[in-house]
Amino acid sequence: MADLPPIPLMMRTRLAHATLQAVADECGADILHIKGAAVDASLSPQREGSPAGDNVEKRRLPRLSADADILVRPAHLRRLETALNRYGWQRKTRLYSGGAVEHSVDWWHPELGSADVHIRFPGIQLSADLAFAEFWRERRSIHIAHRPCKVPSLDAQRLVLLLHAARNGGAQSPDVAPSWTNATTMEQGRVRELAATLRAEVALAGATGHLDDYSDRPEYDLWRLLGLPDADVFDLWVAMVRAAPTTLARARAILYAVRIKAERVELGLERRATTIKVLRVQGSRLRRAGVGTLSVGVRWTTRLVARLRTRNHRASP
Amino acid sequence: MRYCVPANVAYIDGAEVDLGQVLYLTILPYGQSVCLEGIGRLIWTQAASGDDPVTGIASLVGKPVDSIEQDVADFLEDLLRRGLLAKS
Repeated sequence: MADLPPIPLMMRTRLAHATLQAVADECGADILHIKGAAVDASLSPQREGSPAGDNVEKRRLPRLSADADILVRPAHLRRLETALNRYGWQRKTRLYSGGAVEHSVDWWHPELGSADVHIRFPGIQLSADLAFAEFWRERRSIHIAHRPCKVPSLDAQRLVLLLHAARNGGAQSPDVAPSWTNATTMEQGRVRELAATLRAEVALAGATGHLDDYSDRPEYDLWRLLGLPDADVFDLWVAMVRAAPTTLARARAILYAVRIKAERVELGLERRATTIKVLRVQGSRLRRAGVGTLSVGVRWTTRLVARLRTRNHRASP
Repeated sequence: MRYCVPANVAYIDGAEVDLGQVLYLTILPYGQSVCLEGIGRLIWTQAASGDDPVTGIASLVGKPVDSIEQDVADFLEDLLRRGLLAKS
């Protein structure tokens, strides 16, 4: 039996999915596997030039994902985290936003690599508990690494891929064709219905090219900016605060910008960051935020002065 | 003797994802993994399919059953000990 060489990424993430399901089963946590290997074959990019007789599964190009993504019932997060620790996983980050709402925590296993544990999915405005319950109601089971793993319904998988696409290239993302463009009118209708139930219509529109239909919604700016390849970090933060569905979420979005994120610095360095390095990166972030705040202040002042001038001009005889 | 895959073992063969003839087995829920290549991969795959592994391997490698029986049995014993196969 050979010493264990590094497991190729595509195989490692599949084994990680199966392991996460076993950990969840052991501690009684409800989880759903999303993205990557958990996606139905019909929603994957297809091999070109496959023999005509090959079925969808054979024509499917294996999805390459950097980590194993799961969605956990929020009420079960703590028990899952305790079990993950017990079985050799290490938490690498706190809840992370990735430019949108705080939604996931990175975990690391020495042999199986990264797992991304989501409690919600960016773009869904319904509360995380209710959204999970909606996904869970229509769950199905598939085999990953030859072990049964629970996944959302096909419609929900389409929606998750599209919400992810809305943050990664919008309508140009490679996931949009199999999940939306190639879907039948009926399938698109069901995805729209699910998006409405989960209050995710704006983010969905960001992937399907209909975002301007929602220009009056508070989330509009956030999804417009997330669809851009080079959106300004400060503008994104302002849009994230504006899009927050509750006062608490808004307060958390504001605080997120100023919180020290040592683990993010460490992930960038791939080693433990020194206190000085963390403080230096934090200082740089706050400086950028300060410049952003200043530029917003200047923009607002300029607009106010222009308005006052117009008013005075109209008022003068 | 017939064998099966234990319920606490996940596995993936490279051929399933266009990554060649290498097999990874992971013991759940701890996630420790083992890599099998070459004849080891063939023996595990043959045993996991539920067929008689000795006859199957003899046929695959083109050798008489007698000449490989002991080596295959030793390897299967090792797999059982490590919990990577179970008796069915």
